[in-house]
Amino acid sequence: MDRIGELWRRLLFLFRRQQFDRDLEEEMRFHLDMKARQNREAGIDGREAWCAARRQLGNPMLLKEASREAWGWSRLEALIQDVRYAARSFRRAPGFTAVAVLTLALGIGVNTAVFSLLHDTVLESLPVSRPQELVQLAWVQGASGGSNFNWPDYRPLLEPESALPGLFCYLSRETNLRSGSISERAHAHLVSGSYYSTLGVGAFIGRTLVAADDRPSATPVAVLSYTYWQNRFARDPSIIGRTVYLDGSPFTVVGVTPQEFYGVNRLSPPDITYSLHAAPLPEGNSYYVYYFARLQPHTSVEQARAQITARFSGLLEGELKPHRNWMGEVKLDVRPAATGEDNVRLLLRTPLRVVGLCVGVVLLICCTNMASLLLARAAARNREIGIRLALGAGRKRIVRQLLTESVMLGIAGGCAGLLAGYWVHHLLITQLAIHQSTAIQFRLQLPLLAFTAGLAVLTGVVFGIVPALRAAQFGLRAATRREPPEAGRPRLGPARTFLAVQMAASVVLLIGAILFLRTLRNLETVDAGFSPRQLLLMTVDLKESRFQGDRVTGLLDELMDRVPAVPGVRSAALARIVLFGQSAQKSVWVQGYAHNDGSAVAFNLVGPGFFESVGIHLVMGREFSARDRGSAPLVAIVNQAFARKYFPGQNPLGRRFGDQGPNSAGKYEIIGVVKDARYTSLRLPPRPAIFQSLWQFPQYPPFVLHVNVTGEPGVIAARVLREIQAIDSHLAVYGIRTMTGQVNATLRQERMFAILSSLFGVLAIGLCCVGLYGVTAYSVRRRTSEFGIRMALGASRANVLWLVLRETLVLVGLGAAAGVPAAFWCTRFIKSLLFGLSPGDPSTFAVAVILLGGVAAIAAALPARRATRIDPIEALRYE
Amino acid sequence: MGQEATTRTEIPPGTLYMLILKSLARLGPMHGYGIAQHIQQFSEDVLQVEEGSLYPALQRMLIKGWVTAEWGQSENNRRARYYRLTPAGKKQLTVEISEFEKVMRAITRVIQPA
Repeated sequence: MDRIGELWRRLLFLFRRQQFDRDLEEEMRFHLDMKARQNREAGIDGREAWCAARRQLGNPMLLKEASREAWGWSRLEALIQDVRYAARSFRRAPGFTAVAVLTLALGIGVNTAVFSLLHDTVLESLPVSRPQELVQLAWVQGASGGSNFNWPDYRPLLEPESALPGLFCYLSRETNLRSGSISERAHAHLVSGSYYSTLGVGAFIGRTLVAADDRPSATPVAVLSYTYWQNRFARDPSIIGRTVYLDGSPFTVVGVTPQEFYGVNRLSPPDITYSLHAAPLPEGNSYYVYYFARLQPHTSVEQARAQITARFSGLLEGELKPHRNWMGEVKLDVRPAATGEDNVRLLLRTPLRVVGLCVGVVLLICCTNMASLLLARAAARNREIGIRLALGAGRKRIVRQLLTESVMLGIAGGCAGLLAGYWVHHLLITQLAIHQSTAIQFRLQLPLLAFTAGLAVLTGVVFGIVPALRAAQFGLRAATRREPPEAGRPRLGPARTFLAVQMAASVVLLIGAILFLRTLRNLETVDAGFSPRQLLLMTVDLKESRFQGDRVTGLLDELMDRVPAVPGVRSAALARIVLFGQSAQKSVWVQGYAHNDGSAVAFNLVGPGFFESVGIHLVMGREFSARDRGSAPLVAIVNQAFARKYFPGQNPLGRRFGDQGPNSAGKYEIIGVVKDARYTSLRLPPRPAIFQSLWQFPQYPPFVLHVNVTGEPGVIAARVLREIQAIDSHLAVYGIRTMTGQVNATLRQERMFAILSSLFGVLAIGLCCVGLYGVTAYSVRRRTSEFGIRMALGASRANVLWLVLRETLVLVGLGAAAGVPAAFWCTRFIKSLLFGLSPGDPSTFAVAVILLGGVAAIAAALPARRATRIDPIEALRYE
Repeated sequence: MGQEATTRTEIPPGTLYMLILKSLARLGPMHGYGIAQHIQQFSEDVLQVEEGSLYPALQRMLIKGWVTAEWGQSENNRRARYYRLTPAGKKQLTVEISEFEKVMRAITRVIQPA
């Protein structure tokens, strides 16, 4: 009860401050008068009595402050006082404040953006009920593993008596969606019956999918995502019950999921979900599913693992017996999956680490820059601080006040940093090719705000502590006399230490930037083995056209008739797999090869003229022709790597191999050998590959048209499109792009690294130059008299210039000495991202150091030149 | 008697509140100067309260609700602030005295000869 009374009285005090001061003042006066009267009665007379009383009373200011402090608000009052004082001094120096806040906004902003990305992709739990109970199934075979399971091979795991109740799986694919006026590709997830019930996600409107929907005999139904419903159907509630056509099959929309739900994979949230067994999947592709389950109460991950392993062993004796030869080696694992699918984390781990390191270094540079700025500013305020110290301010109070200033700058920088962070976040997402969705957004929510606030205050303290301590230390001395001239070799004060740290950090960033730039250049100039220039790609899908079954070859013939005749087309060819877009492989058994183990080779179905159109050189034999179709003997073309592996030193033409087990080794005859090329990635060296005739296996649409053009690809694409539509208007043509664009898309990550690291490198050097300029200018000013004396004694301008530049070079040297080993240690981690050069590449290191030295010399040259123009007489008079 | 005492015996730490509360209990409402004088006189000049500690202590007692303050007229018709003991203050006084006596008995036991 007393506590409440106490608190109440304390609060009241806040409102009665002035009254309190007046009361205390009067009380002191009364006390003084009484004491003086006592002294007079004791025999001391007149003025002396009053003075004696005054002396006895002690310092009235201290008394007042002690009394005020008893009320417990003194800390808060001091803080408010400091804040107002700081605000006043910032208003007086707008230029400095602007530069400081901008610098901090940059440093904090990039960190905020990276944190947001990291949080959304790796740290945040899925928006489902009790995500910490979710687990994911994974497979391990020897040294490799993953979380993707062949479908429908592993279907028996889903059976109702499954060891993990609530086990569900999903499959992700692109589908053609048609509804009313909308006709486009949509990203779909095909889910098994217990998907929504296990995740514990209800519908926003309508209902979600249930186990009864997941049967071949059930009415095909689908559920839309909120975002898709919002973007495409304008949140029209009448969507429920409407029919949409997915790959031509009708589905009834029965519900929409809540806004915050995005499935279990952040990077590919589905637009629409429907049941796995509701519609047959197109043949000819391999499909992968991902399994998830929810742990039962009182079940641990280990127990779940044991359960599913036991079940899997049982299945290997039962339903899965036919696959035992290759499934037998597989072990199942259960992993916690509160944050969603594993792949996401693995995919983004390295890029985010690299970016995270870079922004950390940027922040370091910003902090050291701020510290230098504040040191210079504190030096200018030495007199003011000295006076305050002389008046009785404690040193701690001064330090606290200066720290308040720097924290305020930090907070201002943090607020501005949120703005900068939004922009950087957007940049990162586009560079990392992350699909912008509800899952990954720059949201001003608690984790982000807490992080930014914490970072702002921390940076404020970190860069403010040293200048604050130094200012308090030297203030008193400076107030009483003029600063002595700085003679001789200047010592390495904190300002210069910071500058050296900045240089070291810049060296690290520069080295990183040069490594990434060179990697990009190496990748862009590597010999891909084919010629992507002037190559147009179009995917043709014939699902809804009249070309089905036996008549597909008819379409192929027509295409090969009409497309090359289009003006601007030099040649055209068809293939099943597009280079640098998809990949496929097959196991082969080669006749006459001693170690046939069914190892996999890259594989494609191509038509006549493919290699010529694409620019792959035919080394021996022939290309496919129109005769290689139907019942003609099965033929194949291989690349040099294949020939080297299976027929070393021999002629591969006429040799045979098969793709359906050791007994089929005579199935195909090799009729040609082509030069090696890179088929999926510029980084990977060419692997053995086989090509079969598309006309002999036309049953796996869609097909990709490769058109070699002269002239403007866009214009010619329109013409070709018209030709195709003329053949049959129900032919779907999409994915119109150039091969160059396709290849470049695979370099996206490298390009991002090159751009970002260069940006950071330039930023670092820029900040260094600003800092260096300031420090050098200050130093020159301090040493004016020294230079004057030197020049009077006969030193030339060049000598003086050298004196100033020597300082700079020492700093650069120190920075390099610290930065090079640090860079050496850091670049180890990006080894997997480099191409064509090692992380310790000496020429890169050398270039970085020389570049930094050169730029630093220029930055220091300007104030240095001013030093040379000093008139000796003026300099001496200045002192 | 023309000299001021240059040294003052320190009030033992933690006893200032007790002394002020007791003075107020004995004197009734009194101003700060009066309290200081009372303590000095009653202790026969042994204990002399520093103003620097008296007034902050009075403030703290105000916060804790052991005393209340109001302005009144002093003997010589000057405006002075009078402090008055509250019931809570009275209770605090008994608590502090019993604590103090407990400690004193313990110390006496320790320093007793033999």
